[in-house]
Amino acid sequence: MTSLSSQPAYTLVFDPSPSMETYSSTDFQKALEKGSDEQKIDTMKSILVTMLEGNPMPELLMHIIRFVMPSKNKELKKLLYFYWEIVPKLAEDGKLRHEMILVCNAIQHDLQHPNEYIRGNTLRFLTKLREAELLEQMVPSVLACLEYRHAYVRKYAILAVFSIFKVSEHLLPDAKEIINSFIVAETDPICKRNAFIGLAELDRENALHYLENNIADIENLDPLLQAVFVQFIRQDANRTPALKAQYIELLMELLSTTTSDEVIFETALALTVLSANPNVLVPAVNKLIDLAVKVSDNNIKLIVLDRIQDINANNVGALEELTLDILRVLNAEDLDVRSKALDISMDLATSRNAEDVVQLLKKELQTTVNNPDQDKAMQYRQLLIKTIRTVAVNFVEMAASVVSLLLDFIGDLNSVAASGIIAFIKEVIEKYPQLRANILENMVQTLDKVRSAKAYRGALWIMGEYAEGESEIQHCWKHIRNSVGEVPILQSEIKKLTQNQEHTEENEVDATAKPTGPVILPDGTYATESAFDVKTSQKSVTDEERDSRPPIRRFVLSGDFYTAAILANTIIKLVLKFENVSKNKTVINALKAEALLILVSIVRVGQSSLVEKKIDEDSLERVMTSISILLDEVNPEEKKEEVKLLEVAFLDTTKSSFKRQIEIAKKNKHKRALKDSCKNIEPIDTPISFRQFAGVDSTNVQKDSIEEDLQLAMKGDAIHATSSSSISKLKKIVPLCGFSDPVYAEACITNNQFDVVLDVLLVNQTKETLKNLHVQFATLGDLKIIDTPQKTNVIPHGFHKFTVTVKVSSADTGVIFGNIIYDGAHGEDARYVILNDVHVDIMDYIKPATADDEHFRTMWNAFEWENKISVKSQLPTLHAYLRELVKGTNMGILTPSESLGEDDCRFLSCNLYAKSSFGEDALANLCIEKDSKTNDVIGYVRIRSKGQGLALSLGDRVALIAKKTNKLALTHV
Amino acid sequence: GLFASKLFSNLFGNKEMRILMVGLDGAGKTTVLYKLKLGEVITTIPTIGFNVETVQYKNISFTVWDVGGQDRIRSLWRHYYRNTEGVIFVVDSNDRSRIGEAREVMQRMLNEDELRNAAWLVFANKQDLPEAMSAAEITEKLGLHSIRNRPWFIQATCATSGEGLYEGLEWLSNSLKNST
Repeated sequence: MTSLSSQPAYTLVFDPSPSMETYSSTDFQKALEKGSDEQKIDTMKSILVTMLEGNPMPELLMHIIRFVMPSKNKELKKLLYFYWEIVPKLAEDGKLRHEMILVCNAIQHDLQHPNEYIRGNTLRFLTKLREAELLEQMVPSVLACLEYRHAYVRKYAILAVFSIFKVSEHLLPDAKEIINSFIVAETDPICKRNAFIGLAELDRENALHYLENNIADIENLDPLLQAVFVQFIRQDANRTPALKAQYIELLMELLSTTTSDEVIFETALALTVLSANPNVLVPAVNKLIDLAVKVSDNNIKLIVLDRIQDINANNVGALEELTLDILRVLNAEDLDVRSKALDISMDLATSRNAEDVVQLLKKELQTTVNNPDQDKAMQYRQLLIKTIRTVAVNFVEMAASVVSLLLDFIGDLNSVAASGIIAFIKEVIEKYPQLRANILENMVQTLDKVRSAKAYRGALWIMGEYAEGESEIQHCWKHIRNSVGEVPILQSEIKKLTQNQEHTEENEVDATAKPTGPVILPDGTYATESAFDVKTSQKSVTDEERDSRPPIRRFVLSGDFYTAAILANTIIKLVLKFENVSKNKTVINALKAEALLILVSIVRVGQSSLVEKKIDEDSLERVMTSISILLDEVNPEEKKEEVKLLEVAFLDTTKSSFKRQIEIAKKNKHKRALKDSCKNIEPIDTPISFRQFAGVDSTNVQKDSIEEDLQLAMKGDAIHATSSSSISKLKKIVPLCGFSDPVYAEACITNNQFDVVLDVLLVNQTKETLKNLHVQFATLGDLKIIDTPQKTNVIPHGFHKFTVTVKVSSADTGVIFGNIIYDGAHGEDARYVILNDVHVDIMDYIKPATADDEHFRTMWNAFEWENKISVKSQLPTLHAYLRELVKGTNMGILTPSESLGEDDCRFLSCNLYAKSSFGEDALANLCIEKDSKTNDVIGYVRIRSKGQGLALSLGDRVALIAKKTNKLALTHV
Repeated sequence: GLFASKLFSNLFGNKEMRILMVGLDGAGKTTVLYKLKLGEVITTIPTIGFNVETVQYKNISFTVWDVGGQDRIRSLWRHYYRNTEGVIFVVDSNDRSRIGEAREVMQRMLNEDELRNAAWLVFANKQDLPEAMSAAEITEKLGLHSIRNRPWFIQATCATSGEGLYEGLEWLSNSLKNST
């Protein structure tokens, strides 16, 4: 592992040179031999780019030593040191290349150069040099540089001393003493910092000693030095727990005095690593919050908030009192920052501070109403409402006040937010029955202001379900009556229209019909709307007039008969309930009569030309059913059974299913909470570390979480790479041509995050030496070959290995193809072997992801490319097909498992979502059913993405699944 | 035209000559180089690698490559052979014990194909020391008389005082003129 991390990190750079010129090493050699310094600079630049692309060009070394190194040109020198950094310094046998020794003299000269920047740059290079044989020559010059008058030289010199010592202790056996005496004499803060870094690692005692000497005025020190002190303390405190208390005290003091942001951040983090005591955590996190509020960079804010979130996750409950402080970050404009801050405060909110949180959020909500930037304010408002909802649902005491608060805003909100509020009210009513009456009344009062049909429908449902007493029902009824307006609708509207026309003939406004696109239902399917009969009705209704209409009337006249159908249901529910609670026959009959009048007039107006869209079949049927229920009460005694059924259908089932839904949600939440708390629970058998024994038992040393993070970040995928066994590697080997070809080739394909590496093995199957053998690759799709393999000669039955890196820039289907070219015997024409295509497996780049319904739908609407694949499969169940689909496409299921239905369900519809490593989104919607005759799974998968490629390639995968599963079924037969 | 211009530059203009200066370690190559370049004696450390300077003498600019003489570097001398017009082989006249080694190294170089046209100048250095061998003695011990088909010259020098250095360059410039 250590050897892994000490490897230099190479970057893959694709040379974007338009001419696509590639130089061979002989070209470079020629260019270096002659030419001015300026030309050499250009040549060096292209050499460096070529090397970074993965072609080390070892044969250039001597030319560079001879023709570039002697130059006095500063720019050339700088490039030369870059070259030394990346040039492979070891020969194939693992020993230093002999030529490298020739470099020493020039480096030595540069270390004694009168120009301090050249000296500093050279010393900087030495810190990256790992070859003891070379470093050996430089030691005296480096030591001389320690006393140079420029701090720029000294700061690198001391780092060079440190790194030379790390490479080989024998080169500088007294490095500790050198650093120690250097730091004591040094005055420059950067030099001191660098020296202390070295000291901290090599010589803990002296570092501690130095720290002690400087503790007295730690607040006056340079921030750079403070930062390394903090780092040292953090590491040392874990090694020597005896000093921990003192260290914490020191850090606290530093935290309160320092002014540097960096030091505050480091110190606060160190404190949270060292201690879980709330007395320490709270001030530390407080400082972090200050930092997040103060800095202007949103990225920094996010980072700091992330840290706070981690700290909170590790110390549940400790940060409770900071809940409100975190909300100070909300003054940032950025939505991500705000959402993060809200998230954290949600985690922190408890019954003690919930009220304050809600108060604060309320204030924020009010400011958004006046915000001129509507689009942003809208998003933020939704965020706030969501947060308030979560808080309120968790804490009863809050629910009532929050509901009235939210209802105050409902008129200003867009459809999504308003319906969110209604959904929240549903939840609250169900959860806390004691608040029911109050909330209901509140809601009915504000309903007039609601503009969103969706929210209104929710409200109607609530009325139907939760209005219980006689007076409540009548109250609701009154609202409905007002909301419908003057009945019969048709006559009154026509009357109004004719009046209008008489008065303002000239003011006629052509109300154009609303664009009637297909409506997408929450499950992603299209709602069928009868597109027949749609005529642009000749209406002359001004906009403000339309707005002044009461809600239901407005919805009906604008053609929203779905709401009307729900109204019909609600009316039935209210009537049925009223019958149960009241014995007053006259009122019941009056209610029924009015209900009939309302419903009939809705149907009438729906069939007239007054509405923008005529009533659709489904809604019509709904309303008609309701009408027939109302009419069908001639003989109540006879139909006791029927009435009961009716009541079950209308009053009980919907409510109970809603109850169940809430229960499931609760259970899920509980499960999640349990999982969260489990993370912090230590198993019973973990050893308890006693501070007193810690020195003896070194295996018990606490892990430094920050260090671990760093290690993880630096190594990245390497951990996964090592875990992959050779067996799985074998699976990825593909033969590129046949055994009977003169040259056999096979490749092992490794997919990394953004590139594909082909390890190619060529075997000469002939009895002749193949000259100038090389492989040319070309690609299809968003792939780019980064390095071109070199020509070689391969002896009879010998083999040649090389690697080719291909950069992948999107999750499109990618194909790599190529051919082997070599010279024929006796100067004949070149010969070719054409290779098989290599298909890059895009699945390695696609990861399941999650998104909420709303986000999914906006993306679904926005994306341009859709790939519709019909499904016909012999799999036993629909769920089996879904499982296959998820496995094959690597997508995540968005639809909650409860709504997917039972395993033997005959239809299934769900949404899937995935993200590629390149940030592309892929959406899919699955609609399948069991064919009742053949028992096959039939239906469609629709894949949408922004670009064409991803939709196509995922479609291929889906098609592949069908092929595979069908074949499987056939073999069973 | 090309010939004429070359002739012209040969007669009046500046000429260039690529010189490779080698020898055993501690023979004084770097001291010679900087005495020629700067005119003063600098304290040197063993050259791990090489130094290169241009030295102007009369109308010839000598590009002198001074490559370290340590055992492990000698194998790298060959990288500098190509296009070399003159070789200065520096010998420590005071070191009788290693004169045999010097001969061996030099003879091996004389057989190098890439150096077959190079003029051969030997500096019998450190003549100021009391026990120093004379130029004639060194000529014999190095076997210089056996050199055929190339011009060679031995010059007794003292790098610290600069004695004999320019005489050597004079010979080199003459041999350059003769060859063109």
